[in-house]
Amino acid sequence: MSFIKQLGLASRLPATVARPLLAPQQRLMASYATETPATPFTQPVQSFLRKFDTNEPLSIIELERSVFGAPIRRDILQRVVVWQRDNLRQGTQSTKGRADVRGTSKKGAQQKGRGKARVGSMRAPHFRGGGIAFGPKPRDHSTDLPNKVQLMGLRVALSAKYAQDQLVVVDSLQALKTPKTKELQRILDTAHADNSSILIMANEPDAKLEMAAGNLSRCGVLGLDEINVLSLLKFDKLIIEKEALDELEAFLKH
Amino acid sequence: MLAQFAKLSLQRTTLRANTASVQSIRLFSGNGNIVPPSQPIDLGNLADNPGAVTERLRLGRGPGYGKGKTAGRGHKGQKARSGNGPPRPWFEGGQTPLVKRMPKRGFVNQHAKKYQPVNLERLQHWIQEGRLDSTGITMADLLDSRCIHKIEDGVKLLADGAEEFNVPVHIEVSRASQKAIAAIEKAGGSVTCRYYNALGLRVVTRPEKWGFRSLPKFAEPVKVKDKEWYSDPKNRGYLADPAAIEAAKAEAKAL
Repeated sequence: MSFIKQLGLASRLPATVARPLLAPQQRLMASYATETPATPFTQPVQSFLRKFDTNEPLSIIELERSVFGAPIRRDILQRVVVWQRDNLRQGTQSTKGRADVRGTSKKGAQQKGRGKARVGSMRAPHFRGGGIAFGPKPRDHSTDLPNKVQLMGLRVALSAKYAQDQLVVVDSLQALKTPKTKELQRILDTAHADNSSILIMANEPDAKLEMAAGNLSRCGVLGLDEINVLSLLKFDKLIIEKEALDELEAFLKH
Repeated sequence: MLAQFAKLSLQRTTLRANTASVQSIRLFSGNGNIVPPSQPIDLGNLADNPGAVTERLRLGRGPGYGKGKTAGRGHKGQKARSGNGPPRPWFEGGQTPLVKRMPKRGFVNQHAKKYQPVNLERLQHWIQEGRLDSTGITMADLLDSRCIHKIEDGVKLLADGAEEFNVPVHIEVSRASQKAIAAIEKAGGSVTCRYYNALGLRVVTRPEKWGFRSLPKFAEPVKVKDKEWYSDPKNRGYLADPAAIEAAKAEAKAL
């Protein structure tokens, strides 16, 4: 289901089209290249791997620095969020102009000899019951944002979660045995006991989890293929399964 | 030392299982240079860089704005009127321009396909230099190795250098000439001609452009002529019956 599997092109392209990621020419050059020296910018960052139901740490894992330790660019987040919200707009607001308003098209008064202003149409904008001048009409508000900025937005959002200690990596979400809201509530209250809102991200779509979280306003569930900056920022904490995190890393690292 | 701390804190926290608050190891991770931002990052604290967005000029909206009366166009004349741009390159001040004085000639076929030619000598040179892997060459590989510099509507394999061609190569292209097919098969390789429309070529060359979305399907040829061409075993088309292709190969070998 996840988008990263869709990116595993081998299965989707005709057999003759599937090819290694590196062209032979690049492979040749890569074999000559020496190993890149370890700099602070290539070192991974670390995090605890925790148990979902108790929050107790199991081990220490390493995360890609370019994904979880990227410089925090507020402006990029702003651009992505504005772009997302633009695209979310329904664009159905509508008003009636002078051509759309119901009523006669008869000339309101004779042209001359009245000693008053000329009246061509009774539905002109300055009349009571007239049309709206330059009013809104249904339209598409969506805008474009370069793909690279979109991906950078995801990296920055994830890095912001990490930098603010709002990223919780768990080994598995299977600790939730039943689709009961009460049980999820208990886990969140005991293990993740603060008032922060929580976004849970599972590797595979989890009907149990979605059912349990459906009525919890502080808790959201997001599929891996639905990941987006706006949802990440709407919630304080991000609880993510290790496998989902690995797939994200593979997709976003550079 | 940092590793030690991490280990210690892990031990300590494991001992205190079920206690919710466990210190983050972020500060002890890597070079320890990841610190939380001074202002929290949430939807209430986002802003673009100062100066990143220029406000639109509001011309002709009254004296208070400074661009009211003549709206920056000065007084009267051709340049003050609407609808006048700078003169275009062919404009000769009102005199009948050259492009209008000369009669029209010929025509451009809008439906013609422009195939990038690849000759066998160039293909062989690329393989011998190690820039192409001869076991399975696609048009994307040709492009990546700069054997061709652009794919317009596809690639056509041509037979320059067929006499000296001696590398067994398995290749898939849009079209191939009869002589090129014969030379490649004589050297122990194979050719498949496959139809790609513009979208299909883009999928093959730039699959990463689809990002989160699933890849589109590959289109079959629509035109009757294309269908016939790709169904012809003589052309090693991908729609042709494999048995017929084998027969055609055997026939060529016998000659």
